[in-house]
Amino acid sequence: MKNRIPSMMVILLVVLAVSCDKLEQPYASEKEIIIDTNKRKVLLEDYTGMKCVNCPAATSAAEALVELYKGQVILMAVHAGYFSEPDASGHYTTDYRVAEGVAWFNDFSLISNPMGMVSRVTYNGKKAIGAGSWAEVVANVAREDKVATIHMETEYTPTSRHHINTTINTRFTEQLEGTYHLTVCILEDSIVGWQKNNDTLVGPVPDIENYLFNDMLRAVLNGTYGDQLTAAVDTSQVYAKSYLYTLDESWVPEHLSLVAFVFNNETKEIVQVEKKHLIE
Amino acid sequence: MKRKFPILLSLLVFALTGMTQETASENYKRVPSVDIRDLQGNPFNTSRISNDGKAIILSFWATWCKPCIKEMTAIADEYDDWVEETGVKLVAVSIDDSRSSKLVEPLVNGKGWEYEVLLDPNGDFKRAMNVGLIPQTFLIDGNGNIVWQHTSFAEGSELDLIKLVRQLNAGETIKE
Amino acid sequence: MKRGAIVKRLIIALFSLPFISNGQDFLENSQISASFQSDAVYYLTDTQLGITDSTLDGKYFRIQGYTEVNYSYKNFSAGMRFEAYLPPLLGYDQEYQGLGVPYWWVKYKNKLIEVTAGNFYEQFGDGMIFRTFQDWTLGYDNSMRGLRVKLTPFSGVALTGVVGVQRNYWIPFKDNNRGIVKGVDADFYLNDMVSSLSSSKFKLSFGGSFVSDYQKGKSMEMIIPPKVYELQLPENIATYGGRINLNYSGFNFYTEYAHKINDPSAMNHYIYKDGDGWLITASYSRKNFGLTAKTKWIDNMSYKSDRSVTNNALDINYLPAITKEHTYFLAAMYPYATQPTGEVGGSAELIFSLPRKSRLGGKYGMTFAINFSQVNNIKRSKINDTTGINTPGTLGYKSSPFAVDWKDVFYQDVNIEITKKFNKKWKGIFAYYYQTYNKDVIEGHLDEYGTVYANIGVVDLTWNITNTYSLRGELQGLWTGQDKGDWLAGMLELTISPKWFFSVSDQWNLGNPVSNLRLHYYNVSAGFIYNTTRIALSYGRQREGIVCVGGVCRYVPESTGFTLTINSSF
Repeated sequence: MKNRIPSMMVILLVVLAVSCDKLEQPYASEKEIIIDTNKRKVLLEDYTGMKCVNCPAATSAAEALVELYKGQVILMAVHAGYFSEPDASGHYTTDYRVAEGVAWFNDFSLISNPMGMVSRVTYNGKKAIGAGSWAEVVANVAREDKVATIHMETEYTPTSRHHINTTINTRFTEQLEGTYHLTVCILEDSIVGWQKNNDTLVGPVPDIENYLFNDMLRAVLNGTYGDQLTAAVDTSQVYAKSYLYTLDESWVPEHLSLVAFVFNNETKEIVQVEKKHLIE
Repeated sequence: MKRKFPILLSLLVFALTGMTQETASENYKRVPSVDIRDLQGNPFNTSRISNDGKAIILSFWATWCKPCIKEMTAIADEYDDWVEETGVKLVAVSIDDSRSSKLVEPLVNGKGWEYEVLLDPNGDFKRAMNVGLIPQTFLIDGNGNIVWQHTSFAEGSELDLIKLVRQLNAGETIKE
Repeated sequence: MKRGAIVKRLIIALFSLPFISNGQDFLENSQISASFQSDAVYYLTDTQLGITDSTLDGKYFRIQGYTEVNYSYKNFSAGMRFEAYLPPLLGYDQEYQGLGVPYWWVKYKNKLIEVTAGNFYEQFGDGMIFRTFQDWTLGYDNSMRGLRVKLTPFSGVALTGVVGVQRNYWIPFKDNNRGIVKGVDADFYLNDMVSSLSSSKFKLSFGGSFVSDYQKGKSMEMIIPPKVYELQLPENIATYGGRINLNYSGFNFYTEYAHKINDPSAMNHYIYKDGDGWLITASYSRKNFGLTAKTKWIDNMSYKSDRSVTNNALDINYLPAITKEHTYFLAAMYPYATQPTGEVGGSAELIFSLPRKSRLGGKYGMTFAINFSQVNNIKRSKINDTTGINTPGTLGYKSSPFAVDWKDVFYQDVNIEITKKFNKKWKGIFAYYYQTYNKDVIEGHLDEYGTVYANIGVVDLTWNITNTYSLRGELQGLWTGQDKGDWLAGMLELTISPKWFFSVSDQWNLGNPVSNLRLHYYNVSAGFIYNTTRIALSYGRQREGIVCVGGVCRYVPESTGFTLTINSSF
């Protein structure tokens, strides 16, 4: 035994020497993205709350990704969780929550804010992804090939201000397995309100009086988990769905957009998403 | 297999519990052999805890645990008399971690305690003895058998402890 | 019988075979011990505290518990712990929801070697580069699952090697979701190695360790609005450290140094600066006198086995706080927690006793404990004119060891505790504390609360009515012009030795600047102890606060309810 110790020590030293990485500067390099229309579009859901002090920084990170990926990443801000519950009095009395958003928050175990999902893919065993990992997961999903295309057509006559009629045509470009559903949502931009904050780079602390909420989920047209498109994908077929909807009078039509996404109903993973402004 | 292993292990352990229970009345548990440290930070194996065939009080404590300090202080007032009368020795195992383990020796000396003090900074001995809450006190007879144990401290309970030591010295079996 | 069940039986039989064949010997040498704890709370809504159905998430009854079993047979031992959180109590990480066996191990040990497979707790030196431990009160467990080997090749030499992955609540290890940690440690005890020194009063030991965490991934994308960057990542994050311990009669000197090579992580804003930690402790003591002085330097020393984690999980190292840990309600209201990204501090503690039957000490003597500690921020300067401090993807900042930012005080505590026994019936503890607490830094807020300055007084009297009955009372006051203002607290506890205790207490926030928040946090409790079984039932309100054990802290929200705690061991 004792004779072996020197040789064991040598092995140990070798193991230790390779267990040590020393990097050289520069550590960071600016990233460029080439948008490829044949790649999958990504839905980034930002679960947020007006009383969540860390949320403005997370939202600003999400917006940077939207900017970088020009149209390949679609952002949806969902108000849900403890920090989105309105107070009885004071600055934070507005309830921005939507029942379906709260259901997603609970069903996908988002637990707290800020937290997000990236096309509802599973990352490290969970769908809930912290803001620090969004860039990473978005990059992974955005590298994948497109498997379906979504085409949206919305009739909106300014005279009958509140009625819309939208038709969504989905076509699969890959022979996928499983049952696929479609969810259609309405988002609104430029809502002004109070927001708690602790990041001086984003705005004043501890409160921002005129915070601009963008991409806020306002309504889901067809329930928490949408409507079934098909239980057996046929790539030769176009799956069409139409919805009539009455807009809430308090919403500003110029600030509204529709988001439609198709997902596998077993894994809930979103395979494709599309966004269109109500008024182009 | 990876997931099944703990289940198998637990089955095995529980099966053994049943087997050993029957003999527990005559087979006392003994102090396990665990490597901890003495007051100066040198290695100390717990199998070395001994008192020349006389009884040992083994007490788990920490500098931040008020009832423990109270128990040690209460015993300290009587300790000289106890040792003289019964030959008992108190071994005080501090579970202070590295935040406060260096304060143990100054505290013990500052309070003027004359116990044998050991350090268990990462709770290895504590776990091996299945100590949950402190203070927890064990009474060990001259043959190294754990004959009695008790959790928590109440004023006056030190008197019960010395009564048990006297019973041991008189050759009585400890029940309860 | 189903096939699975048959297989299980077979396996059990196989396991037991070698033992059964030698049944008598087996029974005599087998030892089993176990412990058990269960904490159950029935929460109530409380309009004064603002506790509603939604704060409780609709779950009024919450229970958590564990059972730990240890078994040994000659040189072999094994153990396991079963845990259940259905659901976790308020204030514990809700990630614990669930049940299972997160901890199990088997061990073989002889004079030369000790091998552990499964989960283990281990500490190198004071833990500045490696420590895994568990604390139930804190809801903390970062145990390693893997392999540990300890060798004692020569007298006075102890070598340890570890490899494994750490526990992260119930999340299984997969998909690179945490790193693989490996480490080696060596301790040398000179007095045991050199026989001529074995009886010397002068004792010297020294040690060194190396730890590395491997997590795959050479780069990551990072958003620094408005741009996205690609960061290079080190896959192996290495730390090393050394320590020396000197003893001469009552004099003791200990120092430990630790160094960490580039470790960009969510904890340090993804900066690439190396980390440093340094602890120095010196003490002198003799009968009735003890003096300890400590100083420490911590610079970018957070070390976790997943770089994206920021909660109380996956810590590879442990950075002990040098401040004193207090236990009285109000003295513990503002506890300090080590700031792993950077802090520098010092502390001193003097304990002395006036001996029994002396003129000043009286018949029973008297003990004084005087303690001082202060922790400040470290001094950081920009790496160049254009890069801000802590800019991700850069070195972050420059610092030099023990350079203090004197203006930025994190914590200061001056306190004195006097313990006095008056006569056979009466004894008391009198304490005074003055604490400075930087609430924003310690609790992770941003310029919301500022610094709290608090004066705290405690009187703790025990009256031994008879040998069986004793009554203890505490009266405490906290005075501050900040945070929630003044507090008054009282407690009365009756113990009937050795089996029963009853207590009532109240903490009253009489000085809260908001008049309808001047609340009472009352509590009544009763307990029964039978040897090693303890059962306690209480009803009352829990004050919002921070529970710290060692350097790790947990936030506890306000609540009202009934609590039942049972714990036992055999």
